[in-house]
Amino acid sequence: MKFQRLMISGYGGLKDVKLELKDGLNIIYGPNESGKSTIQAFIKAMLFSQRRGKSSLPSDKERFRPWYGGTYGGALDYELDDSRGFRVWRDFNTGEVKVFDSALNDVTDAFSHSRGMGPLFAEEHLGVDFDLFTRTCFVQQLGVRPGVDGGKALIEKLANILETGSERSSYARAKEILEKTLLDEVGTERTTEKPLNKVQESIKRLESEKSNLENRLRRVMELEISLKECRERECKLGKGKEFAFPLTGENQVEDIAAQAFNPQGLKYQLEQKMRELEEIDSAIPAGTAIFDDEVAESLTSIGKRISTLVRFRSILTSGCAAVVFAGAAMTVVSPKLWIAGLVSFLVGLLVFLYGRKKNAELTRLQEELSDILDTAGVHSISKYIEKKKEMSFIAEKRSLITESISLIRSQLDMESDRDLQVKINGLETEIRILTEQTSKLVTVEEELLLLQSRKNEIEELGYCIRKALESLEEAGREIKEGIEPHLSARFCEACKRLTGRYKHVRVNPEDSEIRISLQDGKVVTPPFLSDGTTDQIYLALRLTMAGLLSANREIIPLMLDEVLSQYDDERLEMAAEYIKEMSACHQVILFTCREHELYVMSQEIPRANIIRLSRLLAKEYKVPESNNKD
Amino acid sequence: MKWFRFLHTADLHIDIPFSSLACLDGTAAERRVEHRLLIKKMIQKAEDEEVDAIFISGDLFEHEYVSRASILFLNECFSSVPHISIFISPGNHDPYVKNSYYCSYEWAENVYIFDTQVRGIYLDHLNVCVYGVGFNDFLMFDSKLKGFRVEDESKINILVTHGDLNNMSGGQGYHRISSVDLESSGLDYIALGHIHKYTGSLVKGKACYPGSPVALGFDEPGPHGVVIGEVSKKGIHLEFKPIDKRQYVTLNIDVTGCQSSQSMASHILEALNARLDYNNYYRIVVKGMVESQVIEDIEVSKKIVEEAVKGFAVMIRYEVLPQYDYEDMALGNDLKALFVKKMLASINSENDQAEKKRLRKALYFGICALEGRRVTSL
Repeated sequence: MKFQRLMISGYGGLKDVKLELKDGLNIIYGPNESGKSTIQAFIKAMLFSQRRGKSSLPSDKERFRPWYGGTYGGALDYELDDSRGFRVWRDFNTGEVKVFDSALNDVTDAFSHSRGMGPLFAEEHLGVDFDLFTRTCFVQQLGVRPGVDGGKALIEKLANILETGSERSSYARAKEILEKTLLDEVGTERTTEKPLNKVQESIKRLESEKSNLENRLRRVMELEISLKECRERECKLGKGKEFAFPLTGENQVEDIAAQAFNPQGLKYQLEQKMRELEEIDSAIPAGTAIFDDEVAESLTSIGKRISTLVRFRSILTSGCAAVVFAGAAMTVVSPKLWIAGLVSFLVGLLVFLYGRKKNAELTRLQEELSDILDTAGVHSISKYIEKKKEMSFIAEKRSLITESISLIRSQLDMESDRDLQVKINGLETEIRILTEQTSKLVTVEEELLLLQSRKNEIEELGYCIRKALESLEEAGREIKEGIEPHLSARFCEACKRLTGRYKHVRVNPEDSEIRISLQDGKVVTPPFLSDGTTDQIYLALRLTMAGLLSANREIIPLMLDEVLSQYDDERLEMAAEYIKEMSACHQVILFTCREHELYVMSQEIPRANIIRLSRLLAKEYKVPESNNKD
Repeated sequence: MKWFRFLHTADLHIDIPFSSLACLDGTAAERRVEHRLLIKKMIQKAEDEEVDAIFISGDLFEHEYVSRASILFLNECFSSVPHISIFISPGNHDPYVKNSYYCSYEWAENVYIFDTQVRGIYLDHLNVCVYGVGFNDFLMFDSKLKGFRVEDESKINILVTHGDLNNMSGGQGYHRISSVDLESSGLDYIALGHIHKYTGSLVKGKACYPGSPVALGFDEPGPHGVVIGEVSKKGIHLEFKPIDKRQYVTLNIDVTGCQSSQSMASHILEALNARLDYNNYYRIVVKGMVESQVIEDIEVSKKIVEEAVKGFAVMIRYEVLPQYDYEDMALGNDLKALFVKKMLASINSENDQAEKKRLRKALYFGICALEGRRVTSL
């Protein structure tokens, strides 16, 4: 592209100015306040419309309102590399824009339109947006540096434009769209009001409600079990005596157990048992201790002793009589045997005395025996034993009855009829209330499943967007990595040409930071060099970028505003030579206020189109003189 | 020769959440009511068919969700046919556990609930013995029927149980039953439950799964009902009788080639024309490759179709993908080509179909973003 003609009807201090621009180098020379910056602003505004600017600064519309009133706008003629010519006409007062082709047909509607910028012809024809245009091809006074902020994006933009041919499909924009969709349609851990956050919150609430309802349902089941037990007891209660049956025989304890929870039957049994106990007790004589085993054992022993003593007494009596009789007979038969008779007498006496003692024991024992038998109400030991057996049976029976009574009483103590009914009523009421509450469980579960499915959908969307982002970042990284050597090679060449010494320079694609390798091997960043050298290095970067942007695409004009002001003579010449080369393919518009620069450049490029401006002092501004040496 | 007539059902899952209907306002609750009423209908069917018994082979209700009201309703239905013996064998969704309504509730006298041991109940007047065994937990894998033999072969012997015959379900194999065990058991009929679709005769014609009498979701298409059968020592006759008037129907509609959301809506409605029935539940899956602007404008199509199917129980899922020539897009060295190339490589190397599908969406999202368009979620 090259600008052919600027027709400024009114823009800032410029009024009715017409500038003819040529291929190659155009030098717009003029002192300060001659309108050079206004011309640059006019070109940008004609291409991309006026910018709003930062809130603290006046907008372009205010800043460039014509000093002398009248029309606020103008026209710009340009030609594309394929020789198609266009004219853009703007009225900045009304915001009206028209684009005409070389045959002056209105082709405004052939372009996409933006609400703020109108037809996007410049973007379409140049292939870059305002931002990229101003940061690469439009090198303004004291604005050589591409800018630290946005430096990374600049490289990315450059990479995307070079690789895709369209600013619209830029990496940054695609990433931004995906990230925004991720944020708006999904949400993150840090957000609170996004779809995923909301659905998670709802799930949490419903899960808590579900857990609560499940606990209640479990309680209902426990109550149901208790209720069933109570109903079974109630059922047996209702049947009452139907269940009662005489407890007889050896299984009466089991029988009682079998009748558990049948209070009516048990009460009936209790009464029976009490009666039986009374009967037994009345049948048992007082002093049943006489039939204790100990007494019975003693009685047997007494009996045996009495028998022994009776037998002994009989033998002793016979023996004693025999001895006395023998002694008396011997004395009678022979007086000489009186000593033997005396001995026999004495022996008989001793035996008699011993027998008397045993007899006393026998009498005592017989009395004891008689006492026991009398107490037992019998007349003989055999009768006593017989009666003892009878008493043992009765005692055993009594013990069983007592045991039964105790068992029945313990069962009956467990629950009274009235208590059971109260319990059943309570259980039923609690079950009814809880059941009313828990009937919601299934709907809560349905809602929960629905939300879970919604959550899965959102998470899947998030997953897909993240996957797209991952691949996009990977592709972006590869593109940048591919461009970096290309950019660096051109950048090194530009630096060498502009500075004559710094040829080992690199641009970091991550932060756009420039690193310069010095001859001694030290690596520095531009601030460590002189201001002049720093400017030259940044200009080299810009020109490199502009060159890259124009490779195999529409060649964009270069606007250089006082970029050579800090150059020494040697480097000025080197720059002039480099700009000359650039101007072979790019239209270059160099703005300067220095005569020396004008001189050096015009010496280097004799065919340069020189436009001289004079200071804007008066109301009436003259159309500048065009000094094209051709 | 006396034939023993029966109604065989299983897998009713009373009070199951109808999650697939939850997105249709009030439909799930309505379906739950119908579910109960169908039990009444089933009991009526048993009466009409003059059966001697009803076999319920497990999963009668959902232990976790069943309401007391449903249990009362069931019992009321059962007690309304005192002359019909009802045999229930608890399944994995309603196991015979202490806190189950099987244990805690006083069921009607004609209801026989099998516990966790195999036992037989003799119906001497009919010369029948009905065996059964239930689940003792929500998970029960091993067969309780290994080496099982009937006690008296002269009787008509029937088994009611819930389980997985020869691992037909292909799952974990709850109560894995082997047809070999059943064939040598002396049983005349095996009333099975667990598989929700009617299977027809199994085990040499002596067994079947009746399926759930009521369709429970879109994974259970086709008619659902009960089996009416009669058995004697001479043989067995089984007949499947549908009782659920509703069906879950999934319709796939291919909209490939549609150029606008309006034409896509017309295509969908044309495909649905005369196929919708007020009785059924529909899940319509709209698939195909369409122009990308159709996807961007998909809400228009959704609105048109929604309006047209109002009144029908219809859920529509859009699974359309943009009609891009990805291979062509992958040519070149620009960012978009590189991105497409990378995504295609991921898609092609992925074996999991679900993941493939997600990656295709990611590819589409990336292209939308690279073209500066908003991302329309598919």
